[in-house]
Amino acid sequence: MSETPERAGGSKKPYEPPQIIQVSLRPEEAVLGNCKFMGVAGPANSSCATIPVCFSPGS
Amino acid sequence: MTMPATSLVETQPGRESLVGPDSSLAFAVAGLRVEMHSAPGGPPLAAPSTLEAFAAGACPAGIELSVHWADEIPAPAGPAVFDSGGVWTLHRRESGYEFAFRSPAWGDTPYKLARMDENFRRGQVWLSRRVFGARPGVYPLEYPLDELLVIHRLSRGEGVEVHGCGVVDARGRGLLFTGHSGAGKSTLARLWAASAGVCILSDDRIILRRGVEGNVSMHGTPWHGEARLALPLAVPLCGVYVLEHGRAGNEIERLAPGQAAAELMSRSFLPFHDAAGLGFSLQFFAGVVGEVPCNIFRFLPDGSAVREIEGHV
Repeated sequence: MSETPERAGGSKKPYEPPQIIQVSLRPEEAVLGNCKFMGVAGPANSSCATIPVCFSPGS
Repeated sequence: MTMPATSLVETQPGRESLVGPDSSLAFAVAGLRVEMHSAPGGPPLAAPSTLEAFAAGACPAGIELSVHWADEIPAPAGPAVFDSGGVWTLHRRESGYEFAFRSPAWGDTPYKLARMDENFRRGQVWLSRRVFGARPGVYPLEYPLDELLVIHRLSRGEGVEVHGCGVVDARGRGLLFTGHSGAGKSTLARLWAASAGVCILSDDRIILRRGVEGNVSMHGTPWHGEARLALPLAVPLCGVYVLEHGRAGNEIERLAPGQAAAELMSRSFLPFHDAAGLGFSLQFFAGVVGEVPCNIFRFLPDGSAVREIEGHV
């Protein structure tokens, strides 16, 4: 079996060198660790600290 | 509201009351039924208004829970496998997991504990009577437990929850606009909602799953954003747009598949502690970006953004 298979049209898929790209990640959002309420996320949100549950399913 | 003509599927046909007479509560998200029963002498169950449109109907069981009072919830005995840095930690058990929820308001003792089996199909939820006992009705899965259970269940080969706004345009095409908080999801949702024949599946949380025909479907969820838009509907996914703020105008730039997968993963809710779950999610996104065109969308927060997309799809 060929290690560089040709595509249906006979042309090889052009080599694309690996690249390192950086993407943004918001850990506090990604792990659903804090509620978001009235546009404020995280520990700054006093409702998180004083009420044990978050009523906002916000973004 | 006028529904788009094609491809739109109601995922929870047969509306019913969420809270049953037998101390049960059921809803469904993306075809996944979440059902809970209060144990004898257990908490009276209640559902938030955001769930009202998501009655379970005839959906098959996906997650089944029993709900119990606890005078004192013990700290999880198993090792912590993930600390959210917020209200919840996840602990391993011999045959499953435990989510423990704490708040500075209540000290080190968890105010809620959810014990789940290995595949997040069945479990028990304990609520602190001291914390919740005075309420006339309790929703045991208050944020973020409902989403945590669903994303872990989905990670067992079923789908992924994305931080995004889902739009069904007037021609029935499913468009996903993904972005972190502040990217403009709710702003864009409001702009789309002003157009005739458009549905917004959610302005903040969208679930992607494979449909019965193998194509990628986009499902609405009850977990909305600032625009408070949510519908229990599903539609085939036709395009993905990663949101950025435009400076001089609207601009669409096609993404290479590898970058598109990375951008989607960084805007999704994944079980970061679980190699198998992450592996599935990566494979899932590899399929999505191979089948659906993915783009960066730098946009202005006015009606021109909608027109730009209508001319692009």
